[in-house]
Amino acid sequence: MNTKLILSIFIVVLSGCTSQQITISSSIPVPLVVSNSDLRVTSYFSANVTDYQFLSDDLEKTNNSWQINFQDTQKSIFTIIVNSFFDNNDISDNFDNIPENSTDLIMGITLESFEFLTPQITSNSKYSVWMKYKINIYDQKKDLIQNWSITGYGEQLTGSFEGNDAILNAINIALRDVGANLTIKLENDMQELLELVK
Amino acid sequence: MIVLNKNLIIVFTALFFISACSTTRIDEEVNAAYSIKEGDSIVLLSDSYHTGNKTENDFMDCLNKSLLKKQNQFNIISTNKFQDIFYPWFEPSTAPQKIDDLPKLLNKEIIKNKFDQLQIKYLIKITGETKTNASSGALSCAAGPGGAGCFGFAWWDDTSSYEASIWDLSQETSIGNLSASVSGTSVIPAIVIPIPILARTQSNACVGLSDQIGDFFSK
Repeated sequence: MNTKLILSIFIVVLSGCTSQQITISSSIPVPLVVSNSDLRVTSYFSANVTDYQFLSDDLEKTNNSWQINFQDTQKSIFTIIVNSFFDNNDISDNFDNIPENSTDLIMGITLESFEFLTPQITSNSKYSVWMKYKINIYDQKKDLIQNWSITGYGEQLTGSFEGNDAILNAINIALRDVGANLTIKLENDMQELLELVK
Repeated sequence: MIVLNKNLIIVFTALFFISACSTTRIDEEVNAAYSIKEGDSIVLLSDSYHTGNKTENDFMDCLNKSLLKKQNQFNIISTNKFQDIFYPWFEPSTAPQKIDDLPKLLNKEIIKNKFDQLQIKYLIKITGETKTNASSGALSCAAGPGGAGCFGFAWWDDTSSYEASIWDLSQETSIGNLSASVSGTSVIPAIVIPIPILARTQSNACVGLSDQIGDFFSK
């Protein structure tokens, strides 16, 4: 019995498999933009934005498996951005629950892809993270008027970071980049949006 | 036996205090007239990794801290604080990369007003990185029931090369360029105990560049 136990422990140690668990709880500053108080906006988020948990089975398997719990971080970040542009922003559970003509503009946000590379995969000393979101914009009749792709990228050298801090930082940078790119897109296309919902 | 130990201690102590050799080169170029008064602020911002720049975060931290310590003529707004205040306009993927990109940003009233409110007069764009050019040697360590120890000799050459381009926000022009390049060889001899003799090229470049920035504005 003892021999079997020792052998099992030995095999587990030899295989070198580890499971990395990360919880994301970052935020972004309130964007420096001019807000609009005339427009009524309603936002809704897909399930993979409100509470996303990434498991590395989705990617090519390496010796390490990853569990990344985003909690509601993505939703909070998008809410900060939309609130900074529109004083009257409501949040709905889903698209179907929003009555027609109850709002001037509807924004639906979905996570399309989350990818990352580790130093182990690329044989360099940095973590790289990509995120891509689809943003559908509808008018008060719930007709689709715009369809945007917003991406974010973050990289972090392992350097003096301990444990999972380097990948955590790369994810936080990527989320911050998503926020920056959405803000710039909204800023650049605001006039066109206002024309479309007139 | 005691004499041998004493000699060893002297050798190791001497090695500990020997710093590795390094060479520093500093350049300065002034393009336009400038002035800074008490209360004005400057900001250091590294070029984006989206454009291939690899300026390390710890170099930016060192430069911010070093400038803050060395002078009290003007205010320094730390890079992170500046990026948070002006989010998202000076993020790696959105910050102006060339001086020509600046007017478009400053035409936005909300951004211009914030610059005025914080009295930010100059933006200093930092580029560059620390690279290891060559390395050689071998160092091996072993541990046993009787103790542990290392034996061997390893060395590497580092070059830390950084540039600072100073942008005048009111004139929307680059008023000067500064650079600091430090090369050095680090060695680790090991006879039982490894003794790293490091050429601190990055921290020397940080000191060199912060001195230059301080001097530039004190003229």
